[in-house]
Amino acid sequence: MKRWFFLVLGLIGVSSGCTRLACTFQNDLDWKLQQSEHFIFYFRANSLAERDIHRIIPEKETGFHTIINRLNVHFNGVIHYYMYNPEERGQIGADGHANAAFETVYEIYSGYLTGCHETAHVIAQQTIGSGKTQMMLEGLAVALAGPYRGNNLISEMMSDYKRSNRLIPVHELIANPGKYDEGPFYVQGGSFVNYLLEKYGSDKIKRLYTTNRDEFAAVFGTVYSIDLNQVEIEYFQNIK
Amino acid sequence: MKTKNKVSLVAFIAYFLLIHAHALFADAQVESKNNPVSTENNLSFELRYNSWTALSLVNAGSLNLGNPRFTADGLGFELSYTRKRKRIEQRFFLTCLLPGKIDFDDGFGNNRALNHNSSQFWEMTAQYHFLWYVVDKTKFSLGLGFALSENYNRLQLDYLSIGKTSGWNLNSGIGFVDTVQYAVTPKIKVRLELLNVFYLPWVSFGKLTRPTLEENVNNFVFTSTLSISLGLELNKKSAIVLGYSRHETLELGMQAGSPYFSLADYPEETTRFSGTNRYFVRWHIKLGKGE
Repeated sequence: MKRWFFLVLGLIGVSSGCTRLACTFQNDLDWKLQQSEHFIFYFRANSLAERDIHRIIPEKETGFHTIINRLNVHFNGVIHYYMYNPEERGQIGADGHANAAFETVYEIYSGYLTGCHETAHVIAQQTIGSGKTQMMLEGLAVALAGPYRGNNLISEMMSDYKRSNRLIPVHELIANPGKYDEGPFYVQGGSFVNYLLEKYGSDKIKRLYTTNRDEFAAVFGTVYSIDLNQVEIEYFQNIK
Repeated sequence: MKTKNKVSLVAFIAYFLLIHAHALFADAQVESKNNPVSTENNLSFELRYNSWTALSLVNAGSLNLGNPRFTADGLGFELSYTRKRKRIEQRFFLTCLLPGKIDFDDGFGNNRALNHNSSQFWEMTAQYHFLWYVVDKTKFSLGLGFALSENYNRLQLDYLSIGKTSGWNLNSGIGFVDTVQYAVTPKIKVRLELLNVFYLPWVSFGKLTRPTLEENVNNFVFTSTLSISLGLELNKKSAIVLGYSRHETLELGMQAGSPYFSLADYPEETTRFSGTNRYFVRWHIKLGKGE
């Protein structure tokens, strides 16, 4: 009886493995392609992205050059840019997503220009290294290109947060990224990174980008020769 | 990793621990008998052709996306020694995948990302399997057991955009192995085998070197290999085995330089999936029986 019990369990184990292995990936080839200097765009036939591709290309190319120049890095390749229809949101689980190792962006295009936030992720990850904290990873992308849809109202939003006493301390942005809503987290992280980028330059940012949260304050002190809390006070004072 | 996936992973490990726990006690049962038991010793040499594909997992819960991907084809070989004593089988493997050139494919056969000639991957693996045969008949057998695995691999991606990114990893893992064998005739046997190995970040080390910096890596990798083979006995001393296996790897932390659950804030960006189709031919030599 015991033997049959283990026999059945073993067969279930084998079959569960077979089931998992049977979930192999399909090559999704239902795309139209258009190439520009630094991008290959993939979009569905008769989609909004196809309709607007003549607007999308200059937006991405301009954003690409802005990112390269502000970050002062060398990136001489093409980014593979997959633009899904809004009804395909389930495929990528978010509005946009970047995978740096594959130099690829997946994004939903619903008729509004989406900015270069995900492009900034690819370039930063490939040229600087892995972003170890969500604040630096998202903050740098927002500082370079704005959030998804690339809005340019960061300073106005920061003023509003300050007036309504909703500024998040920098050490909180580093230590507890999951505690805050995506909107204020992205904007406030981006604003702080932008402040560092403008005041101290891109080389020091690169050191912080690859620093994990446990060592962040110490590395910050070493790189900037000033205490993080002191910089935070100056930064908050600087918000109008 | 999403909470749902974490729960699934823990449940998966717990499930396999449960069904394989019996194998741990089986050896003691066999050894307690006083009667001398004959031992079978076998040596095998395997030549294999590997077709490797790695792709970005945009959504960690989905395996449906296929663009873009890295691909590599290459040869490999395996040397193994098997020792079976009554219901207990122990196996030792040494596997080497020869360096294979890596291509990038956007799905349409375009490679605008990698320099093919200087992007390559190779690996060596040493494994130990301990199997207990729940059923061990002439016609049919079923074995369950544990596996220990040590894997060393080197990956070099020469990006057209930024230059070379290279890395090496020395991963240590534990796992489970299930095997089912059916003898179609006394000389022809069909075998189905499943091997799952979890390479753990606390005992896995590596280094990722980018054009701008070096990062230490502690990989968390799950591999699953399902193989089916057809064995033909040539004579009493040797057999030839033809087979196919599907080897799948889920890497967490390859890019982040650390396991997703310790330091990296973004597990999705560190998740990578690869599948390898292997076609192999194995020469199996019986070394004789001992006591």
